[in-house]
Amino acid sequence: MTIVAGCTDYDSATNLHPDGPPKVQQVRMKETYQIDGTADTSSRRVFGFGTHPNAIEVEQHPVTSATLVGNSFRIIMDELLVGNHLEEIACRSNVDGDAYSKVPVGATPDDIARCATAQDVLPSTCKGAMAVCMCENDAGCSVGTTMIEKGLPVGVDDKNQDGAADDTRLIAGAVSVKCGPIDVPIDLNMSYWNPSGNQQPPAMGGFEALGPAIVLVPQNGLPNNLDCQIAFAETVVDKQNIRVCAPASGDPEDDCTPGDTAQVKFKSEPMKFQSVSFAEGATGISRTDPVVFVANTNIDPMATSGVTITGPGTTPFTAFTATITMNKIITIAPTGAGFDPNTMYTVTLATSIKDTFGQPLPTAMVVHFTTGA
Amino acid sequence: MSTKHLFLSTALLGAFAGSAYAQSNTTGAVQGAVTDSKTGEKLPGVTVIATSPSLAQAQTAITDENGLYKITDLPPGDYLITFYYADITLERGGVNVGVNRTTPVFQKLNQAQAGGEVVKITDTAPTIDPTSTTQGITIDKNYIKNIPVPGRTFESTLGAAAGSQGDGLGVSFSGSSSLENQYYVDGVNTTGLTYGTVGSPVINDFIEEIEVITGGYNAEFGRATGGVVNVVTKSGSNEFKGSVFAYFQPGVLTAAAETTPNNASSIDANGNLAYYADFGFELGGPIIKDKLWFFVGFAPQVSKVDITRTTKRQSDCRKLEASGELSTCNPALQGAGGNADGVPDVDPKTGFYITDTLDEEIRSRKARAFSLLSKINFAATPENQGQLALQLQPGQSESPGIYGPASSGFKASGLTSDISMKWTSKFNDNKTEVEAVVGWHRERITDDPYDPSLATKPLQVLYDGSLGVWGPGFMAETQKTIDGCRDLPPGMSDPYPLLTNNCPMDTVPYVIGGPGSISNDTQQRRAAKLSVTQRLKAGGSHEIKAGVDVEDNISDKTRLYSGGAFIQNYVGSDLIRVNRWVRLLGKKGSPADLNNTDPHFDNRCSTADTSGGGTGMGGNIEYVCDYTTGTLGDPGTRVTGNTFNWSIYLRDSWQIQPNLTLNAGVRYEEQRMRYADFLQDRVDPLTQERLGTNAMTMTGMLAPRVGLLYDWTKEGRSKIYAHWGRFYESIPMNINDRSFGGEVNFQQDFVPSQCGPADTRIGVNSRNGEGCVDNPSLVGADERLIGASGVLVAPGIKPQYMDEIIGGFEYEILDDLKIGVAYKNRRMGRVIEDVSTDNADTYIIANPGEWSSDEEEKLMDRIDRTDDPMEKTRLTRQLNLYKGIRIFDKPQRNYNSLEFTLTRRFSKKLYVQGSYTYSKTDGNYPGLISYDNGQVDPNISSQYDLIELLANRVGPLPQDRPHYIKLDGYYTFDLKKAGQITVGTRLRALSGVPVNALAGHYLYGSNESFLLPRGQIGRTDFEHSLDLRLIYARNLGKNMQLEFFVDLHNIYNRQGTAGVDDNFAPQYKLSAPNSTSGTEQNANPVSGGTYQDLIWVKTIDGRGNETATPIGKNPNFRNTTGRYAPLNANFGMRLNF
Repeated sequence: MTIVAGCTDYDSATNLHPDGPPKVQQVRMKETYQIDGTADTSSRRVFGFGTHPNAIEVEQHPVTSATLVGNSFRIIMDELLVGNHLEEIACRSNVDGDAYSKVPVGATPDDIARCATAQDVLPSTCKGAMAVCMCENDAGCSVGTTMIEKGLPVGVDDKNQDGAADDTRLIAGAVSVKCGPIDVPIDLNMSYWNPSGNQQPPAMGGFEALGPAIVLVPQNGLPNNLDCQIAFAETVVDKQNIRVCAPASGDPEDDCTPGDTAQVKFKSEPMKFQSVSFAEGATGISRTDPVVFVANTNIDPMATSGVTITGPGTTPFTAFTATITMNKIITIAPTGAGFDPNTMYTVTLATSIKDTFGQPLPTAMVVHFTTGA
Repeated sequence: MSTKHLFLSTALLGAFAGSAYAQSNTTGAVQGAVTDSKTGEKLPGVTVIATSPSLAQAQTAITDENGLYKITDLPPGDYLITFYYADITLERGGVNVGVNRTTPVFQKLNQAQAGGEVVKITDTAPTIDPTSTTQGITIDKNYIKNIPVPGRTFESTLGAAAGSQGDGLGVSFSGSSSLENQYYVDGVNTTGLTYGTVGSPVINDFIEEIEVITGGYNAEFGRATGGVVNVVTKSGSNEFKGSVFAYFQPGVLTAAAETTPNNASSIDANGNLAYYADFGFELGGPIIKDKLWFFVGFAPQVSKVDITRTTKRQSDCRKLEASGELSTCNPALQGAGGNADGVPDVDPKTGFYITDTLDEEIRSRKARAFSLLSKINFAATPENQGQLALQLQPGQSESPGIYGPASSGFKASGLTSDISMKWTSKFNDNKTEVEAVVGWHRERITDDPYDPSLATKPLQVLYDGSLGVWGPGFMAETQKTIDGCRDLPPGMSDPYPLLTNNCPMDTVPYVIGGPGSISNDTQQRRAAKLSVTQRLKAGGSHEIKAGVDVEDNISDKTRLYSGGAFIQNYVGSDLIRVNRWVRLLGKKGSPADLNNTDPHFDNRCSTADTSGGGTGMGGNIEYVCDYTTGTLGDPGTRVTGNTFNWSIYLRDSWQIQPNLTLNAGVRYEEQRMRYADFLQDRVDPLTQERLGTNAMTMTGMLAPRVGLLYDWTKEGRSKIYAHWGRFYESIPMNINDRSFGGEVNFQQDFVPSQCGPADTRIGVNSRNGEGCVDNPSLVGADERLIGASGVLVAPGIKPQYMDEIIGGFEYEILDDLKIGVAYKNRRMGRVIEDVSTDNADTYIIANPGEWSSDEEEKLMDRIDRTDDPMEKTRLTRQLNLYKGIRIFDKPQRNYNSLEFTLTRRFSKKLYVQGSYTYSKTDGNYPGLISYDNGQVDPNISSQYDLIELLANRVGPLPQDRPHYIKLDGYYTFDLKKAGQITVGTRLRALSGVPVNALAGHYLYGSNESFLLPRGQIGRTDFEHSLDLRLIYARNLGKNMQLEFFVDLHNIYNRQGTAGVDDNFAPQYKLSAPNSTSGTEQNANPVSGGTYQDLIWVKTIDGRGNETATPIGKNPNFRNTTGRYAPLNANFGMRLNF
């Protein structure tokens, strides 16, 4: 006999939505925006996809100028995904070319603990279908001075011996960012899947702690001025084995087709330079001081070829060297006697300048200055 | 056999005729109808007299025109009911009357019977109360005497009730927590004031009867959403009666308790009873016959529990053989043919480290107490009677430290006092009864250090280190342990030289220093009750009762740590956390600060400003504060609180027909909780709220109750019934101390180097936290105020209540044997808990999930009306805070049960009481106890504090035990002149409890975060046990009997699992050997997750920020942490006279 509590309603504000396909509920990202009433720009993290009831207007809109450097993406799901297809765990040595191993679906923390025991015990505890960190190298895997044969466990990396893996890593290609034709490299160690969280912002972290979430950290920033998408591998599924999708409206209440995440898109900001030596049209500029431009992203080392100076008038000025430091700073230093006195120069950063992804500067930058006496 | 009947004088009839009191909480009643056995004619004018050794004076009634009678105000016991009609006399013996119960005695008279003879009726009266829907059980002194109950005070008997179970702090009933019960002794509320525990544990030998009400109680009872326990102690009568008794439970007759080893730590503790003994006497009798009676009882009790403290060392001498088995131990290095590899040996079957036992040491907990009960009963006239009772229970105990030096323990002493006066008067031809009760319940508790020289030292808890360091460091371990834990290079005396830490303390902390929190508390309840009962006839017979009662509850408690602080020293993580009680003056630079003249406020307390939405970008707010000292009497070390309760009720038991009863009643209650004296009429420095006298007033507690009963046998041998009632909670006084007493805790995290030079007793480079306590000007690397922003009470807050529906039947299928089936549903309607809607900055005592729109409008009006911009800002902030309450999940607890009961009352030498309960208790609110993290803070627990703590709380609650079988009974063998032997048994079989996976929260500490939905990990094993009692009794004379008895508890020594370690991830990750890499790790719940998901959970650091680091694991997760008591025997004797 079963007793059922009549009219029981256990809806919770913290519940997820496990029915149907797993949907992208929100994507948090950093955008660059122009501060109202000024020419200055700043950056902020916003909902580039989806929204939240607690968000104010400026915090939620399609992003057309995703910040190129220092950006990361928090992809918040409306239900739990199978973590085994998103992350792998660290082992004590290389098992298949590197020291990370995928975890069989269905494995529990107990299975991990069984493969995190002392080396001599491992063959007894770490076996069967749920075993992890099994040596797959034909030549075997070396753990310290011990050589482990192919097919035997090398052990989970568990230095503190608590039975849990010390480290995990996002599986390459599980979730990716594609900008135009470019697959944006992801920092797999800094990126992760965290099944914790729900739609209620916790005491600390605010929207950045909504979950469950995949956090993607580009390894070298984003290519500039491109339409981008976040893509999920076919293997990334929920517990009903359904692929991820994103409703066209951004409203998780709406339907979407499994595998269709085309709506999770944004545009990266265009590459730009800012003169930090002088303002446009400045006068009295030192004849020997370098002229410095800072880009909003990492620039191609060959970018110096795109720098030209003319003056006076259209006369080419070539007595300078252009160098790149810290990946994004172009320093133009006059050589010899420097610039002529009381002369107006024009510096042009041409569209041939590219970022490290090979994407060009969308608009040439032209600035003028006049030297002092 | 017949005897000539006695002449019943007119005067006697006049004295007792029409006696018709309602039964009070300490008495019961007999009722029925008298009819002609041949014609069925109702017989009016039959005189019915109840007599009993339990009754000082006979009680009488005369049947009315319908042949009905009722005799009330009968103390519990066995009665002889005598019917006189014309010259016919019938005697019916063995009529058992229980507290608050009406025993039906329907009698048929044969008018043709020859007069002048006494006819003795051997037929027994039914045991079904056809007028009451009350659920529960009555435990009389014979049950207590013959059943092997597992204790010596009344709480040990309560588990006999169907739907009851122990919950660590008491016995819970029908899915509620034990703190929701109310306990009455002789009609006076003795419920513990702070938490609602048992306040006065009366020893069983002083008890006449216990009524355990598990549901369906009428309007006389209130302030409970659990059960009501009504203890009636023995009283004197016209006969001298008493007993001398002794009870002894020796440790040598107790099987060794199975250990529950701590994996990855080097101290195990296992408690075994060394002895328990009590002895004493109880005596009652007349002082002036028929006028004045006395009862007195006295019983000292002593006990000792030996804690066997086993120290152990990890081993490194085994390897896995090809067979899959571990080799024998060979500690030689691998290069020398041994198995030492520098990694501790682990048992592949259990996952436990394989350890060598180093030494065993016994530390003992000792206690002694005295129970004294004295009572005077007096009858000014038969209609005017009174009672004066005094109960005193002084006691002392001492508990040495176990996981650390013995000196870190404490000693405690206490005194519980109860004084009560009761008066009953009858008027109006005894149709009206007035009862007045005045009571005073007082509890006093004081703590002292185990070692007086440490009285001024703070308690310090060391985490994640080595016993090899702490043992010799604090010289609190035996030499064997110190030697065995020593880490030495190869070639010396360390058998495992490659292990860098032979004796880790990863999962159990080590406690040093003073006693910690110090109590010097007094709590008292002054109570008075007045009730009037009127019986009248109108469309049947009515028994109408109205009453009022008031309770003035006062607490005077200490708030101090020894040495002024409590230290958590995370040795493995390079962090020292100092906790202090502080008094706040106001923000730095505020008018309160600038105008301050109190020199005590010379400290600073800062906390994160989370008003920016919990982004961590808000910086800190700094307050001027006073670090409360560790000296009792210094400012801020005493907190006084007051709660005033009152109630009125009206109920009618309307007997529409003799076999059809409608019970209807309504009860109204109010509760006023006041701010601590020093806070009243002051502006809260944190909320800027002006505090008045009353912190929270609960009004509108209107509790209707209605029940309907039908007896289809018309003889009191059956009932089919239904009952609905609403029950309100009485908030225990813990809230006065914590929420309305200005409690603020200041927590500072220090880098150990701030705390002075290295203390090698703790670690080579470790520091002693006392160094940071001694320097109050130090600024922590991280600081926070806990409970910091004062407490707001949500306007319009409503009281906590529960609704209950009961339906069932009882039927006496054979003489003395009744069966019953009852369905019970209990559902929390509303709960009071504190919530924070601004990220733990402000706490609001509220009804989670609801805030009235009327109150919202009122507050908006107030905001509109004010011209003061600061006030407008403050109120607008409050408005937003209150609106946030609605987001929180509504607390829910649903209990559904089917109870099958069987009762064979004692007759023909056999008594049986059994039940099978199938139940489901689910929801997200366990009750006034947070079983999951052990927190006992009724109505202000952490479980609703933050929105992220709510996830995954729904599921089978800790008290959910789907199957529970109870069977108690005894049989008496009459050996004639050789005496009597009685065999009593007590069987319990019950489902296990749900197991959870918990983790820490960066603000709230361990076990606050439900990583997975409740019960996801499964359930502990089904448990069962059988107890046995053997009694040999021999009469030594006409009124004297000597008894010897032996109890065997848990006779097949099944020490089943009582609890497991639910902590999946310790709040501080274990450090790698020889490092201090153990960082703080917290985790938010995985909503709706499964065990597999926990592999991927990421750590939240000590500041609340999510990281990419996977969470660690507790090596002790799901291991047994507590077991049921082992086989034990005890014996005793009793001389009854």
